[in-house]
Amino acid sequence: MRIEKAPPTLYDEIFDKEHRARPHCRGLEQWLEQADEALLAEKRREADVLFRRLGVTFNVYGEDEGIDRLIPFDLIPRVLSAADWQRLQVGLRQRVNALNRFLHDIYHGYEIIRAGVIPAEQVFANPQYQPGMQNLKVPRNIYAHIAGIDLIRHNDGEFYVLEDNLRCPSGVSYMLENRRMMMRLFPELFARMPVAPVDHYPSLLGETLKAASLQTNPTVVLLTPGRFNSAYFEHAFLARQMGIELVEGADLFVRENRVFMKTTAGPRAVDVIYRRVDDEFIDPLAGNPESMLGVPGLYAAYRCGNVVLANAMGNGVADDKSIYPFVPEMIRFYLGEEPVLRNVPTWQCRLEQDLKYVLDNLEQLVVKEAQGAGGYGMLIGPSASRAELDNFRAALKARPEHYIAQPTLSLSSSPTFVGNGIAPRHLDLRPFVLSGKKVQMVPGGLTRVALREGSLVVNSSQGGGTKDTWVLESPSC
Amino acid sequence: MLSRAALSLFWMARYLERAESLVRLLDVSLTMGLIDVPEDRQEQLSVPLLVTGSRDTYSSLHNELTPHSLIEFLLLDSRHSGSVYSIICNARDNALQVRGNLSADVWESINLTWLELKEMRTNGVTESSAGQAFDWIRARSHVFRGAAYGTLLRNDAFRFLRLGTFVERADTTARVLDIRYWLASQSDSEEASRPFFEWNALLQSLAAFEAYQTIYGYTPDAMNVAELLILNEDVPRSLHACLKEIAGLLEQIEGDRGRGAKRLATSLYANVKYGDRDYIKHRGLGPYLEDFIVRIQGIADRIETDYMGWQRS
Amino acid sequence: MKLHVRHKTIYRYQTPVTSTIQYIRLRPRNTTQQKVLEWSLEMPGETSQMTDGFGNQVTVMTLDEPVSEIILSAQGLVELTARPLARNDSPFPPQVFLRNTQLTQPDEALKDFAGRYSANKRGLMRLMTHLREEVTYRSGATTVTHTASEAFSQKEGVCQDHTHIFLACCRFLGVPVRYVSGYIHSSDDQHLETHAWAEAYLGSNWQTFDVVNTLNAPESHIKLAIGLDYQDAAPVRGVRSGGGMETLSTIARVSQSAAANQ
Repeated sequence: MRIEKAPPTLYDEIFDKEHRARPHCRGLEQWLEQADEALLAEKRREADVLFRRLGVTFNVYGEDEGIDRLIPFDLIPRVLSAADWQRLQVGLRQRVNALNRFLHDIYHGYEIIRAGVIPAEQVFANPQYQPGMQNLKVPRNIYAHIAGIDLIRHNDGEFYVLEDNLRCPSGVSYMLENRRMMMRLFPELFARMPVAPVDHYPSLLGETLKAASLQTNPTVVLLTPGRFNSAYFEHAFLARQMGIELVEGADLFVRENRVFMKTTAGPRAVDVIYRRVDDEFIDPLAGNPESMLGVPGLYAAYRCGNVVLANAMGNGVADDKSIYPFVPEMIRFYLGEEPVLRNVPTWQCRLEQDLKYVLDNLEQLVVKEAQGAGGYGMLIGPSASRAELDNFRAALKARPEHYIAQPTLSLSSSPTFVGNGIAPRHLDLRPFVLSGKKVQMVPGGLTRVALREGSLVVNSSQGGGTKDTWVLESPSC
Repeated sequence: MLSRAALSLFWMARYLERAESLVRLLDVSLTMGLIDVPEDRQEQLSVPLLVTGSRDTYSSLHNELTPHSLIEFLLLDSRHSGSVYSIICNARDNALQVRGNLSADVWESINLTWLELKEMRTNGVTESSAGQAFDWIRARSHVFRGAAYGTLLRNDAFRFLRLGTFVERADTTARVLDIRYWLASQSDSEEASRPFFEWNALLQSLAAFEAYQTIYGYTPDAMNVAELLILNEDVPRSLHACLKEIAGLLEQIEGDRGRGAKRLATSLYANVKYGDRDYIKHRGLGPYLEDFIVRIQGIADRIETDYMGWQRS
Repeated sequence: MKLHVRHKTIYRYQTPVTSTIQYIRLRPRNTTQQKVLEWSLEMPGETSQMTDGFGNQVTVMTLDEPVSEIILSAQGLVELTARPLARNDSPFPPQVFLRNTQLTQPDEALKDFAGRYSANKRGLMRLMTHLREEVTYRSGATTVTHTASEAFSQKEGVCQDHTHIFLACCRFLGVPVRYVSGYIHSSDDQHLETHAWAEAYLGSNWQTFDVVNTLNAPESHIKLAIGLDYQDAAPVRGVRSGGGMETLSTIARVSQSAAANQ
C-alpha cells in the first residue's frame, strides 16, 4: 500500500530521515507494505463494531447526555524500542518520585520553599493548594499513587514532558482495550514482533492501591461520579478487572470518622478509595456544598487517617502549569540527580520579561492557561488567526499570571491509516506510573494521535484518536 | 455486595425476563388471533395488554386494536414504558450501573441486544417480519442467560440477578394463567372449542406445551394445566420451580439482613410445594392466583427493602 | 478579662430528620490571646473529633434516629489575655490566605473600591471605615451563600458579608487575610449571635480587623475557627435526609464573668 512519509524536518517514530524503517520497526514496515487498503478498511470497521459492543465510548462535555461516541482507533501501532523505553522508565520513575516528595514537602515542612527554589506564592497562593492537607500524614508519603505523564518527542529525537497529571489521570482503559483489539485483529503481527505485554496493569494497580493503606488486607473501592461521566467506562472496566466494588457517593457513608459502604450484608468498612471524583466534590461539608457526587464526612475520615484517598487531595498544585517549570529543580533538590526527562522550555507570563517575550513572539508560541484542562483555553500561534492572536494578546495583558507559553514543538509523527492510504500524523504518549511499595509501570501507555493532517492537538474532544503502543522487548541473542 | 449494585442486577434480570415473556405472549396472541373466530380476534389481541396492564396506555395512543399497531406498541414504541424497546433500554441502563459486576460476556450480550434493537426500531417491524423479530428476542434472551450462567462467579451478584429472573417469571406465569383462565371461563357452552384454545395458548406462551403433552398427553383441561404450571417442580416456568429457586437463592445470600424476605419466600414456597389439586380447586383457581400475585409482589418488595433499602442517603 | 459564653442553637424541622452529619466548629482553641478555662459542647447523636487543615477543632456529629429538633449548646469560660496576635500562629505560611474563593471573588465594582486604598495598616483602616459606612448592617439582609460582590452591590449585609468584602479587598491588594468566626462581648450585651471578623497579615504580623465594629484590636473577641472564608470557618455545616423546611433560632450570650471582677 502507498505510504506517505514524513518530511525530514519531522521526527517519525517508524521511519528515519532517509525514509528507511528504523531497525526495530522493520517487521512493521514489511507488514505495512503487504497490507492492502480494503483489508485495513474492513478491520477498522470491525474494530468500530467491537468497541461499540464493548461500550468503549465517551461523552463529550456539553453534548447531549446519552450520545455515546467512539474515540477513533488507528490500526497502525506506535512502536518504541527497548532502549527508548528503558530511558523513559528511568526518567518517569525519577520524576514521579520527585513530585511525590514535593507534595509531601509543601504540606509539611516547606523545605523547597525555604531553600528559595520555588517562590512561596507560586505554591501557597495557587488555588490548587489544599489547606486541608496541611500536616496530614498519608501512608508511605505517597500522594500521586497513579500518575499519567504526557510526553512528546521533538524533532531532535528526544522526549520532553509536556504535562504531569497527578489528580485523576484517565485513559489507561484505552491502552488496555487497544492492545486487546490489536491482538484480536492482527494476531500474526504479534508473532512477528516481540511486543511487551501490558495486560497486567490492573493487577499492578490493585497492588498499588492495597499498598496505599497500612492495613494488612484493606478493602478498596473505586469511587466514580457515575455513568454520565465521560470516563465511566474506564471506571467500570478497572473495578471489574481488579475485582473491587464500583461505588458512587451515595453508596458510602461516614460514621465515627470511618467510611462504610452500603452492602446487602450491612455496612462494610472501606479502607482505600480509588477516587475518580475531583477534590472539590469529595465531601460537600468540606468542599463544594452543592456536590452530590461525594460523601458527607469523608474529609473528616481522611483527616483522621481512617481512610486513604488515591490519589491524595491537593495534588493539583504539583501538576499545575505554573509549577511545571520548577520540576527539573525539584528533581535536583529532592533527589540530588540530574533530570533524565526534559521539560519543554516555558515562559511564565507572570514574569515581566517573560511576558514581553511572549507578546513579541506570539505567532511562534503555544499559550496555555496555567489552570486548565482539555485543550480548550489554548492558543497555537502558528495556526492562529489574526483575531485569535488579538484575543489572546488582550487576555495575556489582562491576566498574565493565568498563562504560560512554550515554543511550538514539532510533535513526532507515526504512520496512520487515513482512509486513502497511510500518512504521518502527530502523536504524544501518556505512560501511567504507579507508586506503592515501589514505583511500577507497564511498558507502554496511551498514544494519542491528531488525526487531522498537520494538527498538533491530540485531545479526543478535538479530533484526536488513539493507537496501540508497542514497547519492543530487547531481541534475545 | 453493594446494595445499589444488587438492586440494578435484580432489575436488569427482571427486565430481560420481562422482555422475553412479553414477546412470547404477543407471539401466541397474534397466532391465536389468526385461528380464532373473527369476533374473538380482538379479545385474543388484547391478552398481552391485559396481562401487562397496559390497555389504557394503548387506547390513549391507538384507536383500533390491529395486529400491526399492537406489534408497534408492544415491541418498539418508546412512548410506552412497557414496550420491549423500553424494557431493554431499562435493562441496559441497569447493566451500565453494574458493569463492574458483570462479566464482559454478559455485558456485551445486553449491549448488543440494545444496539441491534435500536437498529430494528429504525427499520421497523411489519406483521410478516414480526415472527423473525420474536425469534431474535427469544434467542437474545437465551444468549444472556447462557452468558450469565456460563461466565458469572457464583456470588451474591449472581444470586440477585437470578432472583430477578425468577421473581419476574413467577409473576408472569401467575398473571398469564389468571387471564387465560378467566377467558376460558367466559366461554358459552356451545363454544366447546374455546377453553381448548385458551389452554393451548397458555401453554404455548409459557413454553410448556411439550411438557404438558409429555406428562398428560391429552386435551388440556383447567386443573391439569393448573397443576402443571403451579405445582410441577420440573416445569421451568411453574410457580413451584420459581419459588424453589427464590427460596434457595435467598438462603445462600451472605448476611442476616434478609430475614423478612426469607420468611415470606419460604412460606410461599411451602404453599406450592405441599399444595395439591384439591387445595387449589377448593380455593378456586382465580382467588388462588390473585393471592399468589400479591404475595410474590410482597416478596419482591421485601427483597428490595431488606437488602437494598438504606434509610440514610 | 474572663468571658462567660452560653450559646444555644435550635433547629426545628417540618418533618422528622431521619439522619444527619455535621461539622461543628464550636470549640475554641487555646492561643496566646485566649485561654479556655471551661468548655462544654452538648448535642444529640454520636460525636467524634477532628482537627482540620487550618488547625480548627471540629466536632463531627452524626445522628441516625428520627428527630424533629436538634439543639446544639456550647458554654464555657474563656480568659482573654489582651496580648497581640502571634507572628506564626497559623500552621502554614500567610501566602495561603492570598487566594480568593468563590465567596470572595471581587467583581469590577469591588475592585474599583479596593483599588482606592493602599496595602498598609493605615490604608486598611480607612478601607474598613469606609466599607462600614458603605455597607449597612442589617440582620437577615443576606444568606450564607451571598458572595462579597453581591453584598457589596446591595450595600447591606451581616458581619459575615462585611468580612467577606474586606477579605476580597485585601486579597485584591495582595495582603494575606483570613476569615475568623467567633464570639464577641459587647458592653450592652446586645450582640446575640456568633460573630465574624478578619485578620490581615501586615509586615510580619497578623492584625485584627473587625469591620462591623470598626475595631483594629481584639478587645473582647473569642476565636472559634479560621479559614479562607465562611465555608471553612462556619460554626456548623451539615447535610441531612428528610426534615423539609428548617427554622433556626440561635442565641449567643457573652457576658463578663463575675469571677473576673473579684
